[in-house]
Amino acid sequence: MNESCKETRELLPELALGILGGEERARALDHLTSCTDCSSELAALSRAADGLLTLAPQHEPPAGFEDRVLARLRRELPQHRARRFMTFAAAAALIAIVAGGVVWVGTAHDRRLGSYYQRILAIQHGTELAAARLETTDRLPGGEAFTYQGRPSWLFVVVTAPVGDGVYDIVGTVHGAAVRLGVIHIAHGRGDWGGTTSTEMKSVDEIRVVTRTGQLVLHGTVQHN
Amino acid sequence: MMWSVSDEALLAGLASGESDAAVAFIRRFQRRVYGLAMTILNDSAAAEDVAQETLARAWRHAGAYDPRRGPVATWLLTIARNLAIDALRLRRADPVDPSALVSLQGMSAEAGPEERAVVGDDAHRLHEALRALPEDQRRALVLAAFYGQTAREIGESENIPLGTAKTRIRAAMIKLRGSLQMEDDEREL
Repeated sequence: MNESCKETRELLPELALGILGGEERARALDHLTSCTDCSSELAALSRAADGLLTLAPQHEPPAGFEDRVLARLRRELPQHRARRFMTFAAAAALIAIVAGGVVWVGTAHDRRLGSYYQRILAIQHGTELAAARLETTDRLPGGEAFTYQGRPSWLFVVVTAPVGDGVYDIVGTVHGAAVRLGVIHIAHGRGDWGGTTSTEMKSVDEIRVVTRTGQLVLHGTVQHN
Repeated sequence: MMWSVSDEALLAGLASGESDAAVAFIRRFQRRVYGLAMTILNDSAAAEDVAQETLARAWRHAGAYDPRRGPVATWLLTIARNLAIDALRLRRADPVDPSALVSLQGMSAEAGPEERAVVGDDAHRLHEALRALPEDQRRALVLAAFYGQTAREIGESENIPLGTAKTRIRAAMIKLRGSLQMEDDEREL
Protein backbone atom coordinates (compact mmCIF):
# COMPACT_ATOMS: atom_id res chain seq x y z
CA MET A 1 0.00 0.00 0.00
CA ASN A 2 1.57 3.30 -1.07
CA GLU A 3 1.05 6.81 0.36
CA SER A 4 -1.77 7.52 -2.07
CA CYS A 5 -3.57 4.34 -0.91
CA LYS A 6 -3.13 5.29 2.75
CA GLU A 7 -4.55 8.74 2.14
CA THR A 8 -7.48 7.33 0.17
CA ARG A 9 -8.30 4.67 2.80
CA GLU A 10 -8.89 7.47 5.31
CA LEU A 11 -11.55 8.91 2.99
CA LEU A 12 -13.28 5.69 1.90
CA PRO A 13 -15.73 5.36 4.85
CA GLU A 14 -17.17 8.82 4.12
CA LEU A 15 -17.19 8.12 0.38
CA ALA A 16 -19.11 4.87 0.96
CA LEU A 17 -21.66 6.78 3.06
CA GLY A 18 -22.08 9.34 0.26
CA ILE A 19 -21.08 12.26 2.49
CA LEU A 20 -17.67 13.10 1.05
CA GLY A 21 -17.64 16.25 -1.03
CA GLY A 22 -15.52 18.61 -3.07
CA GLU A 23 -11.81 18.20 -3.38
CA GLU A 24 -11.51 15.16 -1.07
CA ARG A 25 -14.08 13.26 -3.11
CA ALA A 26 -12.35 14.14 -6.38
CA ARG A 27 -8.99 13.02 -4.98
CA ALA A 28 -10.40 9.68 -3.76
CA LEU A 29 -12.19 8.98 -7.04
CA ASP A 30 -9.06 9.82 -9.00
CA HIS A 31 -7.05 7.26 -7.00
CA LEU A 32 -9.79 4.62 -7.31
CA THR A 33 -9.69 4.64 -11.11
CA SER A 34 -6.26 3.00 -10.98
CA CYS A 35 -6.27 1.01 -7.70
CA THR A 36 -8.17 -2.27 -7.55
CA ASP A 37 -7.32 -2.88 -3.86
CA CYS A 38 -8.87 0.40 -2.75
CA SER A 39 -11.84 -0.21 -5.08
CA SER A 40 -12.47 -3.57 -3.36
CA GLU A 41 -12.24 -1.85 0.01
CA LEU A 42 -14.79 0.74 -1.13
CA ALA A 43 -17.10 -2.03 -2.34
CA ALA A 44 -16.91 -3.71 1.10
CA LEU A 45 -17.58 -0.44 2.93
CA SER A 46 -20.46 0.43 0.57
CA ARG A 47 -22.04 -2.95 1.24
CA ALA A 48 -22.01 -2.09 4.96
CA ALA A 49 -23.24 1.48 4.46
CA ASP A 50 -26.08 0.49 2.10
CA GLY A 51 -26.95 -2.56 4.19
CA LEU A 52 -27.61 -0.30 7.18
CA LEU A 53 -30.64 1.12 5.37
CA THR A 54 -32.33 -2.28 5.46
CA LEU A 55 -32.41 -2.04 9.26
CA ALA A 56 -34.65 1.04 9.28
CA PRO A 57 -38.04 0.49 10.92
CA GLN A 58 -40.66 -0.70 8.45
CA HIS A 59 -43.89 1.22 8.37
CA GLU A 60 -47.27 0.59 6.73
CA PRO A 61 -47.93 3.44 4.27
CA PRO A 62 -51.22 5.42 4.51
CA ALA A 63 -54.39 3.79 3.09
CA GLY A 64 -54.60 4.00 -0.71
CA PHE A 65 -50.83 4.24 -1.20
CA GLU A 66 -50.67 1.30 -3.61
CA ASP A 67 -53.46 2.76 -5.79
CA ARG A 68 -51.80 6.16 -5.86
CA VAL A 69 -48.46 4.67 -6.96
CA LEU A 70 -50.15 2.58 -9.67
CA ALA A 71 -52.09 5.64 -10.89
CA ARG A 72 -48.83 7.53 -11.09
CA LEU A 73 -47.15 4.75 -13.09
CA ARG A 74 -50.13 4.70 -15.44
CA ARG A 75 -49.82 8.47 -15.95
CA GLU A 76 -46.17 8.06 -16.89
CA LEU A 77 -46.85 4.99 -19.01
CA PRO A 78 -47.46 6.62 -22.43
CA GLN A 79 -44.01 8.22 -22.40
CA HIS A 80 -42.34 5.09 -21.07
CA ARG A 81 -44.16 2.90 -23.58
CA ALA A 82 -43.32 5.23 -26.45
CA ARG A 83 -39.62 4.78 -25.79
CA ARG A 84 -39.98 1.02 -25.55
CA PHE A 85 -42.24 0.90 -28.59
CA MET A 86 -39.68 2.70 -30.73
CA THR A 87 -37.10 0.10 -29.81
CA PHE A 88 -39.39 -2.83 -30.49
CA ALA A 89 -40.75 -1.36 -33.72
CA ALA A 90 -37.23 -0.91 -34.97
CA ALA A 91 -36.36 -4.41 -33.78
CA ALA A 92 -39.31 -5.84 -35.67
CA ALA A 93 -38.16 -4.08 -38.83
CA LEU A 94 -34.67 -5.37 -38.25
CA ILE A 95 -35.84 -8.93 -37.82
CA ALA A 96 -37.67 -8.66 -41.13
CA ILE A 97 -34.48 -7.44 -42.73
CA VAL A 98 -32.30 -10.13 -41.25
CA ALA A 99 -34.78 -12.79 -42.25
CA GLY A 100 -34.58 -11.39 -45.78
CA GLY A 101 -30.83 -10.98 -45.53
CA VAL A 102 -30.05 -14.37 -47.00
CA VAL A 103 -32.06 -13.50 -50.10
CA TRP A 104 -30.42 -10.10 -50.24
CA VAL A 105 -26.93 -11.60 -50.31
CA GLY A 106 -27.95 -14.33 -52.74
CA THR A 107 -29.55 -11.95 -55.20
CA ALA A 108 -27.36 -8.88 -54.90
CA HIS A 109 -28.97 -7.37 -57.97
CA ASP A 110 -32.21 -6.98 -56.07
CA ARG A 111 -32.08 -3.22 -55.72
CA ARG A 112 -35.52 -2.98 -54.26
CA LEU A 113 -34.47 -4.90 -51.16
CA GLY A 114 -31.23 -2.90 -50.99
CA SER A 115 -33.06 0.40 -50.97
CA TYR A 116 -35.53 -0.97 -48.41
CA TYR A 117 -32.57 -1.80 -46.18
CA GLN A 118 -31.21 1.74 -46.65
CA ARG A 119 -34.55 3.26 -45.72
CA ILE A 120 -34.82 1.14 -42.57
CA LEU A 121 -31.31 2.14 -41.53
CA ALA A 122 -32.13 5.82 -42.05
CA ILE A 123 -34.97 5.70 -39.50
CA GLN A 124 -32.48 6.00 -36.65
CA HIS A 125 -29.44 7.36 -38.54
CA GLY A 126 -28.09 3.84 -38.74
CA THR A 127 -25.05 2.49 -40.49
CA GLU A 128 -25.43 -1.20 -39.78
CA LEU A 129 -27.86 -3.90 -38.80
CA ALA A 130 -26.27 -7.13 -37.71
CA ALA A 131 -27.29 -10.40 -36.09
CA ALA A 132 -25.89 -13.30 -34.13
CA ARG A 133 -27.30 -16.77 -33.71
CA LEU A 134 -26.99 -17.73 -30.06
CA GLU A 135 -25.89 -21.22 -29.11
CA THR A 136 -25.74 -23.05 -25.83
CA THR A 137 -22.36 -24.35 -24.62
CA ASP A 138 -23.48 -27.72 -26.10
CA ARG A 139 -23.85 -25.95 -29.48
CA LEU A 140 -27.62 -26.24 -29.49
CA PRO A 141 -29.64 -23.33 -30.96
CA GLY A 142 -30.51 -20.89 -28.17
CA GLY A 143 -31.95 -17.76 -29.77
CA GLU A 144 -30.86 -14.68 -31.66
CA ALA A 145 -29.35 -11.27 -31.01
CA PHE A 146 -29.89 -8.30 -33.32
CA THR A 147 -27.69 -5.23 -33.17
CA TYR A 148 -28.18 -1.79 -34.65
CA GLN A 149 -25.48 0.85 -35.06
CA GLY A 150 -27.17 4.22 -35.14
CA ARG A 151 -28.32 7.13 -33.04
CA PRO A 152 -29.18 5.61 -30.69
CA SER A 153 -27.62 2.20 -31.14
CA TRP A 154 -29.57 -0.69 -29.73
CA LEU A 155 -29.70 -4.40 -29.13
CA PHE A 156 -32.53 -6.90 -29.15
CA VAL A 157 -32.05 -10.40 -27.78
CA VAL A 158 -34.48 -13.32 -28.00
CA VAL A 159 -33.73 -16.46 -26.03
CA THR A 160 -35.36 -19.83 -26.61
CA ALA A 161 -33.16 -22.30 -24.78
CA PRO A 162 -33.52 -24.91 -22.06
CA VAL A 163 -31.78 -22.83 -19.39
CA GLY A 164 -32.90 -22.32 -15.80
CA ASP A 165 -35.41 -19.62 -14.83
CA GLY A 166 -33.72 -16.48 -13.64
CA VAL A 167 -32.07 -13.20 -14.45
CA TYR A 168 -29.04 -13.21 -16.73
CA ASP A 169 -26.64 -10.55 -17.96
CA ILE A 170 -26.25 -9.79 -21.66
CA VAL A 171 -22.60 -9.07 -22.31
CA GLY A 172 -20.90 -7.88 -25.51
CA THR A 173 -17.26 -8.42 -26.42
CA VAL A 174 -15.67 -5.25 -27.77
CA HIS A 175 -12.03 -5.60 -28.86
CA GLY A 176 -11.63 -8.49 -26.40
CA ALA A 177 -13.18 -6.63 -23.44
CA ALA A 178 -16.54 -7.53 -21.89
CA VAL A 179 -19.21 -4.81 -21.79
CA ARG A 180 -22.50 -5.32 -19.97
CA LEU A 181 -25.33 -4.40 -22.32
CA GLY A 182 -28.52 -5.46 -20.55
CA VAL A 183 -30.38 -7.86 -18.30
CA ILE A 184 -32.70 -10.61 -19.48
CA HIS A 185 -35.31 -12.48 -17.50
CA ILE A 186 -35.67 -16.07 -18.71
CA ALA A 187 -38.65 -18.16 -17.62
CA HIS A 188 -39.65 -21.56 -18.98
CA GLY A 189 -36.80 -21.39 -21.49
CA ARG A 190 -37.93 -18.11 -23.02
CA GLY A 191 -36.99 -14.49 -22.60
CA ASP A 192 -36.38 -11.31 -24.55
CA TRP A 193 -34.75 -8.00 -23.95
CA GLY A 194 -34.34 -4.88 -26.03
CA GLY A 195 -32.82 -1.54 -25.23
CA THR A 196 -30.71 1.33 -26.44
CA THR A 197 -27.03 1.44 -25.57
CA SER A 198 -24.11 3.86 -25.74
CA THR A 199 -21.84 0.96 -26.77
CA GLU A 200 -20.73 1.02 -30.42
CA MET A 201 -22.69 -1.96 -31.69
CA LYS A 202 -20.57 -2.21 -34.85
CA SER A 203 -17.59 -2.99 -32.57
CA VAL A 204 -19.33 -5.82 -30.72
CA ASP A 205 -17.87 -9.10 -32.00
CA GLU A 206 -19.72 -11.50 -29.77
CA ILE A 207 -22.88 -11.50 -27.65
CA ARG A 208 -22.96 -13.65 -24.55
CA VAL A 209 -25.68 -14.44 -22.03
CA VAL A 210 -24.14 -15.19 -18.63
CA THR A 211 -25.38 -15.99 -15.13
CA ARG A 212 -25.02 -13.47 -12.33
CA THR A 213 -21.82 -15.20 -11.34
CA GLY A 214 -20.45 -14.84 -14.86
CA GLN A 215 -20.97 -18.42 -16.08
CA LEU A 216 -21.51 -18.64 -19.83
CA VAL A 217 -24.95 -19.88 -20.89
CA LEU A 218 -25.34 -18.73 -24.50
CA HIS A 219 -23.08 -17.06 -27.01
CA GLY A 220 -22.95 -16.07 -30.64
CA THR A 221 -20.67 -14.28 -33.09
CA VAL A 222 -22.09 -11.09 -34.58
CA GLN A 223 -22.11 -11.26 -38.37
CA HIS A 224 -21.09 -7.74 -39.40
CA ASN A 225 -21.29 -6.32 -42.95
CA MET B 1 -46.98 -17.18 -8.56
CA MET B 2 -45.89 -13.54 -8.70
CA TRP B 3 -45.60 -13.52 -4.93
CA SER B 4 -42.98 -16.24 -4.80
CA VAL B 5 -40.62 -14.97 -7.50
CA SER B 6 -37.22 -13.55 -6.58
CA ASP B 7 -36.73 -9.81 -6.15
CA GLU B 8 -34.58 -9.71 -9.29
CA ALA B 9 -37.18 -11.51 -11.39
CA LEU B 10 -39.87 -9.20 -10.06
CA LEU B 11 -37.78 -6.19 -11.02
CA ALA B 12 -37.23 -7.63 -14.49
CA GLY B 13 -41.02 -8.09 -14.77
CA LEU B 14 -41.46 -4.48 -13.68
CA ALA B 15 -38.98 -3.38 -16.37
CA SER B 16 -40.91 -5.22 -19.07
CA GLY B 17 -44.13 -3.45 -18.05
CA GLU B 18 -46.09 -6.37 -16.57
CA SER B 19 -48.83 -4.82 -14.42
CA ASP B 20 -48.94 -7.84 -12.06
CA ALA B 21 -45.24 -7.33 -11.44
CA ALA B 22 -45.81 -3.66 -10.58
CA VAL B 23 -48.45 -4.55 -7.97
CA ALA B 24 -46.32 -7.33 -6.49
CA PHE B 25 -43.26 -5.09 -6.45
CA ILE B 26 -45.08 -2.27 -4.63
CA ARG B 27 -46.54 -4.68 -2.07
CA ARG B 28 -43.21 -6.32 -1.43
CA PHE B 29 -41.23 -3.15 -0.82
CA GLN B 30 -43.68 -0.42 0.24
CA ARG B 31 -43.24 -0.94 3.99
CA ARG B 32 -39.47 -0.72 3.74
CA VAL B 33 -39.41 2.27 1.41
CA TYR B 34 -42.09 4.23 3.26
CA GLY B 35 -40.56 3.19 6.61
CA LEU B 36 -37.14 4.54 5.67
CA ALA B 37 -38.60 7.79 4.31
CA MET B 38 -40.67 8.20 7.47
CA THR B 39 -37.62 7.48 9.64
CA ILE B 40 -35.64 10.23 7.92
CA LEU B 41 -38.40 12.80 7.44
CA ASN B 42 -40.83 12.12 10.31
CA ASP B 43 -43.64 13.59 8.19
CA SER B 44 -46.18 11.25 6.58
CA ALA B 45 -47.02 13.45 3.56
CA ALA B 46 -43.36 14.09 2.74
CA ALA B 47 -42.54 10.41 3.32
CA GLU B 48 -45.30 9.34 0.93
CA ASP B 49 -43.97 11.70 -1.77
CA VAL B 50 -40.52 10.17 -1.38
CA ALA B 51 -41.85 6.59 -1.34
CA GLN B 52 -43.95 7.20 -4.48
CA GLU B 53 -41.04 8.77 -6.32
CA THR B 54 -38.72 5.93 -5.25
CA LEU B 55 -41.06 3.27 -6.68
CA ALA B 56 -41.61 5.31 -9.85
CA ARG B 57 -37.85 5.63 -10.33
CA ALA B 58 -37.37 1.91 -9.75
CA TRP B 59 -39.97 1.31 -12.46
CA ARG B 60 -38.33 3.77 -14.87
CA HIS B 61 -34.79 2.53 -14.25
CA ALA B 62 -35.37 -1.17 -13.54
CA GLY B 63 -33.26 -2.05 -16.58
CA ALA B 64 -30.26 -0.26 -15.09
CA TYR B 65 -30.24 -2.33 -11.88
CA ASP B 66 -27.00 -4.28 -11.58
CA PRO B 67 -27.40 -7.34 -9.30
CA ARG B 68 -23.64 -7.51 -8.71
CA ARG B 69 -23.81 -4.25 -6.78
CA GLY B 70 -26.21 -5.57 -4.14
CA PRO B 71 -29.72 -6.84 -3.47
CA VAL B 72 -32.80 -5.13 -4.97
CA ALA B 73 -33.94 -3.98 -1.50
CA THR B 74 -30.65 -2.17 -0.92
CA TRP B 75 -30.74 -0.54 -4.36
CA LEU B 76 -34.28 0.66 -3.74
CA LEU B 77 -33.46 1.96 -0.25
CA THR B 78 -30.45 3.96 -1.44
CA ILE B 79 -32.79 5.69 -3.94
CA ALA B 80 -35.26 6.39 -1.10
CA ARG B 81 -32.51 7.62 1.21
CA ASN B 82 -31.13 10.07 -1.37
CA LEU B 83 -34.60 11.43 -2.17
CA ALA B 84 -35.43 11.78 1.53
CA ILE B 85 -32.17 13.61 2.23
CA ASP B 86 -32.90 16.00 -0.66
CA ALA B 87 -36.32 16.67 0.87
CA LEU B 88 -34.74 17.12 4.29
CA ARG B 89 -32.27 19.69 2.98
CA LEU B 90 -35.16 21.77 1.63
CA ARG B 91 -36.59 22.22 5.11
CA ARG B 92 -33.49 23.22 7.02
CA ALA B 93 -35.53 24.94 9.72
CA ASP B 94 -36.82 21.64 11.04
CA PRO B 95 -33.73 19.75 12.32
CA VAL B 96 -33.69 15.98 12.59
CA ASP B 97 -33.87 14.11 15.85
CA PRO B 98 -31.75 10.97 15.45
CA SER B 99 -32.25 9.78 19.04
CA ALA B 100 -34.73 7.01 18.21
CA LEU B 101 -32.43 5.52 15.58
CA VAL B 102 -29.34 5.94 17.74
CA SER B 103 -31.04 3.99 20.51
CA LEU B 104 -31.94 1.39 17.84
CA GLN B 105 -35.71 1.81 18.39
CA GLY B 106 -37.64 -0.12 15.78
CA MET B 107 -34.42 -1.23 14.05
CA SER B 108 -34.74 -4.76 12.86
CA ALA B 109 -33.03 -7.29 10.66
CA GLU B 110 -36.30 -9.17 10.12
CA ALA B 111 -37.98 -9.46 6.73
CA GLY B 112 -41.55 -8.18 6.34
CA PRO B 113 -44.56 -10.44 5.70
CA GLU B 114 -44.53 -10.03 1.87
CA GLU B 115 -40.82 -10.50 1.62
CA ARG B 116 -38.58 -13.41 1.09
CA ALA B 117 -35.22 -13.12 2.84
CA VAL B 118 -34.49 -10.02 0.78
CA VAL B 119 -31.62 -8.72 2.81
CA GLY B 120 -29.97 -11.95 3.85
CA ASP B 121 -27.39 -12.41 6.54
CA ASP B 122 -25.86 -8.96 6.12
CA ALA B 123 -28.73 -7.32 8.02
CA HIS B 124 -28.29 -9.56 11.05
CA ARG B 125 -24.54 -9.00 11.16
CA LEU B 126 -24.89 -5.26 10.72
CA HIS B 127 -27.57 -5.08 13.39
CA GLU B 128 -25.30 -6.83 15.88
CA ALA B 129 -22.30 -4.71 14.93
CA LEU B 130 -24.36 -1.50 15.25
CA ARG B 131 -25.60 -2.55 18.68
CA ALA B 132 -22.01 -3.20 19.82
CA LEU B 133 -20.75 0.27 18.80
CA PRO B 134 -20.00 2.90 21.47
CA GLU B 135 -22.89 5.37 21.46
CA ASP B 136 -20.85 8.33 20.14
CA GLN B 137 -19.74 6.30 17.12
CA ARG B 138 -23.25 4.96 16.52
CA ARG B 139 -24.63 8.47 16.65
CA ALA B 140 -22.10 9.79 14.13
CA LEU B 141 -22.80 6.83 11.86
CA VAL B 142 -26.59 7.23 12.03
CA LEU B 143 -26.32 10.95 11.23
CA ALA B 144 -24.15 10.16 8.20
CA ALA B 145 -25.85 7.01 6.88
CA PHE B 146 -29.50 7.99 7.34
CA TYR B 147 -29.49 11.78 7.39
CA GLY B 148 -26.64 12.39 4.94
CA GLN B 149 -24.79 14.69 7.33
CA THR B 150 -21.18 15.38 6.42
CA ALA B 151 -18.36 15.08 8.96
CA ARG B 152 -18.34 18.90 9.23
CA GLU B 153 -22.10 19.01 9.93
CA ILE B 154 -21.77 16.23 12.50
CA GLY B 155 -18.91 18.14 14.14
CA GLU B 156 -21.11 21.23 14.38
CA SER B 157 -24.25 19.50 15.61
CA GLU B 158 -22.36 17.33 18.12
CA ASN B 159 -20.07 20.18 19.14
CA ILE B 160 -16.90 18.19 18.47
CA PRO B 161 -13.86 18.98 16.27
CA LEU B 162 -14.03 17.91 12.60
CA GLY B 163 -11.19 15.41 13.14
CA THR B 164 -13.10 13.71 15.95
CA ALA B 165 -16.25 13.45 13.79
CA LYS B 166 -14.23 11.86 10.99
CA THR B 167 -12.56 9.43 13.42
CA ARG B 168 -15.92 8.32 14.86
CA ILE B 169 -17.40 7.72 11.40
CA ARG B 170 -14.33 5.83 10.26
CA ALA B 171 -14.10 3.66 13.40
CA ALA B 172 -17.80 2.75 13.15
CA MET B 173 -17.59 1.90 9.45
CA ILE B 174 -14.50 -0.26 9.88
CA LYS B 175 -16.28 -2.30 12.58
CA LEU B 176 -19.38 -2.75 10.40
CA ARG B 177 -17.31 -3.74 7.40
CA GLY B 178 -15.39 -6.18 9.62
CA SER B 179 -18.63 -7.85 10.72
CA LEU B 180 -19.48 -8.65 7.09
CA GLN B 181 -15.96 -9.83 6.37
CA MET B 182 -16.24 -12.25 9.30
CA GLU B 183 -19.42 -13.63 7.76
CA ASP B 184 -17.71 -14.15 4.39
CA ASP B 185 -14.76 -15.89 6.06
CA GLU B 186 -17.10 -18.23 7.94
CA ARG B 187 -18.88 -19.08 4.70
CA GLU B 188 -15.61 -20.07 3.08
CA LEU B 189 -14.66 -22.47 5.90
